[in-house]
Amino acid sequence: MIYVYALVSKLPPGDTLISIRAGKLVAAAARVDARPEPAEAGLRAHDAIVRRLWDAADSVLPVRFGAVFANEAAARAAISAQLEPLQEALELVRGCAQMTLRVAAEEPAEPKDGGPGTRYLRARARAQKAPEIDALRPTLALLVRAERSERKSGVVSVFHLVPRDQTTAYREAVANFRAIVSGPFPPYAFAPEELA
Amino acid sequence: MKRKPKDEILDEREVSLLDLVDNVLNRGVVLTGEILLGVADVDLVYVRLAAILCAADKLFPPPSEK
Repeated sequence: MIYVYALVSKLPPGDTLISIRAGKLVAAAARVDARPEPAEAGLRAHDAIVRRLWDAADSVLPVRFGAVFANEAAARAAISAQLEPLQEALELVRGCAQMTLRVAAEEPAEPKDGGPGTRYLRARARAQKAPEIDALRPTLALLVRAERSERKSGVVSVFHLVPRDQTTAYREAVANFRAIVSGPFPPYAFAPEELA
Repeated sequence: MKRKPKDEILDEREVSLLDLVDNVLNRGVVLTGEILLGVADVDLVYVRLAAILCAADKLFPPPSEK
């Protein structure tokens, strides 16, 4: 079986991983005997390899844990099936790190106007915009290249794509804001979901 | 150096484990468990567990600030 760790432009010289080419992309992969278990040791091992690649290359698109394929041809087919969005994603993350902010979700008072459809669309738009960090946006505008956010059980996670040499400036910019900041990480949140 | 309150609740290693799970598995900061108890294919009890793994004092203001 083939296990894919990340997509890169090319593997670092001398790297022991297998490279599987599809278009402009190279999948950094390894042969495994079984699907890895999602336990802490396995997650750390996955992350360590992604970080090693990320330290060595300018642009690395991490693949989430568990991308297992029967053979190299199956891995190549899965990547080729969404080659365009993957190539664009690899370009987007070039030279960047992911910084993560976590803030408490603020639920606005239920608006009285509009039908259920309007309310649904409003809630959806809100979920994607993370207005909780609006106060930070003017400060972060020059540091952040892209943003994604998730809203789950009262916590909003905001993922920012920040040039690697700007991560210290980013931490300083958010230091006095009521949020938990972590990073820099390889840009996991900016990889397209579900490769496997 | 004065420790920030969040460090006292959640140390660096726990935060890094949370981020590891969040990044590598994309299960977010909420770990959810589902338990389904059933007899003869009839579902009897459904329990949903959700635990937010975060430094609560950093996210939610203490009552005195409200």
